[in-house]
Amino acid sequence: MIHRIEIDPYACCGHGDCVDIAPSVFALDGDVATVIGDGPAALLVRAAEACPSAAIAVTEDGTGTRLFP
Amino acid sequence: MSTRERIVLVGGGLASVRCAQTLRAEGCDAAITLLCAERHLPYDRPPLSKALLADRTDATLPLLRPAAWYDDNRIELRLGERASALHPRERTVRLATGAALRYDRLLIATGAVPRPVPDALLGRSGVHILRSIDDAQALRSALVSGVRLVILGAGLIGLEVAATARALGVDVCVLESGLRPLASALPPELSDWLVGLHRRNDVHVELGAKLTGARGRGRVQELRLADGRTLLCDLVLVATGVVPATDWLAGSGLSTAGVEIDPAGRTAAAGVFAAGDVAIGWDPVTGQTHRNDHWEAAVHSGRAAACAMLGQAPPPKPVHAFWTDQHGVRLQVVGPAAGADRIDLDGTLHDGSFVAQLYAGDRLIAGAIANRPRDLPALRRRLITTPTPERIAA
Repeated sequence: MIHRIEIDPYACCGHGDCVDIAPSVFALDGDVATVIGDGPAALLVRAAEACPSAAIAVTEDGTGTRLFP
Repeated sequence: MSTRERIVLVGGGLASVRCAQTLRAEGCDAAITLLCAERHLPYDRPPLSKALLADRTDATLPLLRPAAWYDDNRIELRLGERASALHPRERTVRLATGAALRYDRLLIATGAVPRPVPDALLGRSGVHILRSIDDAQALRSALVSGVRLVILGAGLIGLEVAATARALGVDVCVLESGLRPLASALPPELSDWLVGLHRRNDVHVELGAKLTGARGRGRVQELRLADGRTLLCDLVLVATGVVPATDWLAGSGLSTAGVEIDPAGRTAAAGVFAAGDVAIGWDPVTGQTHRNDHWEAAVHSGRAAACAMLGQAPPPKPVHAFWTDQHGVRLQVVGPAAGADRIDLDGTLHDGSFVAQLYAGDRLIAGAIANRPRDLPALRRRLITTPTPERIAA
């Protein structure tokens, strides 16, 4: 894992847009999305930006750089 | 719950599916039957006015859950089954086929239906509504470049379709009878901004416009407005809002103006719960009872009803929120924005990229964000931590 991907369970409504964009990274587990993998930064940011609830946070693990929000 | 108990979920939309999902996730072992009036597997509605409408290919249905999910979770999905009456004392629901189904717990989640088409347009071809996937497919095949579309109603559906159709090269005119669009969801400055956004994208928007008549042999060809003007058109979309789908509740003792629920989703009838667009709940933030027909509200109320069926405390109520995509701008709104009397703006409205903090007096009550999703989490946190009257009282 080179990214730390966090989902705010109170904000996530399970729209599933992140799963559509990055199915190798996100999966819907019941009502909320869960992280099942990692991916290129651009893909992760695209998924985070597309989330209608802005429930996804992406951080670069080594440097601690916040990629989203 | 023993396996003999039967839970019937009436309605095949988001609230119903999320209720079923929560029941199983919480270990409920009852027999669950989901009645879906449409012949399609339960699907997601937001794309119907956006991506699905724009897609020229044979787009696949945006399913809420894959077909196998219902079997995997032992949910008996009955497609094309419409409820026709509810008898709370006998704890039975009557189906349109004439059969009756007994229940121990029942969820009313029949959603809403579009308001009736105005008399002047009745029986004419070229007149559309948009609620179901079938409606969307009919509208999509008619939206051809150069066609003249008039949309009645500048609500979220009307405005989203206007933007989608414009991008397809359709000549679009929106007629709104009110003086500003989305008056119950946005403060005046943001309504005005939305109107401007559409006009800059060559959508003709008429406010305070009232339809009085239509002409055309069989097909709609011309609309007449109250001020005497006429408008040529090839297609009309009636998007003047929805009413709760409660016809089948006549005689049940429950109100057909929308089903009143407590915060846990219980109705006045024993064992009967309601969720989604059909339900009328009390909103602690605005202090009013009303329907909340946004996507997030259906998710929450479906989940809350499941908890109540199992005798559990309701999940925490999220901040009221909705989003919309129009002309390449994603607008995300959190909190009861219409009640704001002051806007603190970061960015400019005209650019379509801004964060608007919305105040009632000196209290932050809501926020609206255009094309700046990165700013949403922090704004939402501020809204959750800003004291509201009932939080102070608690």
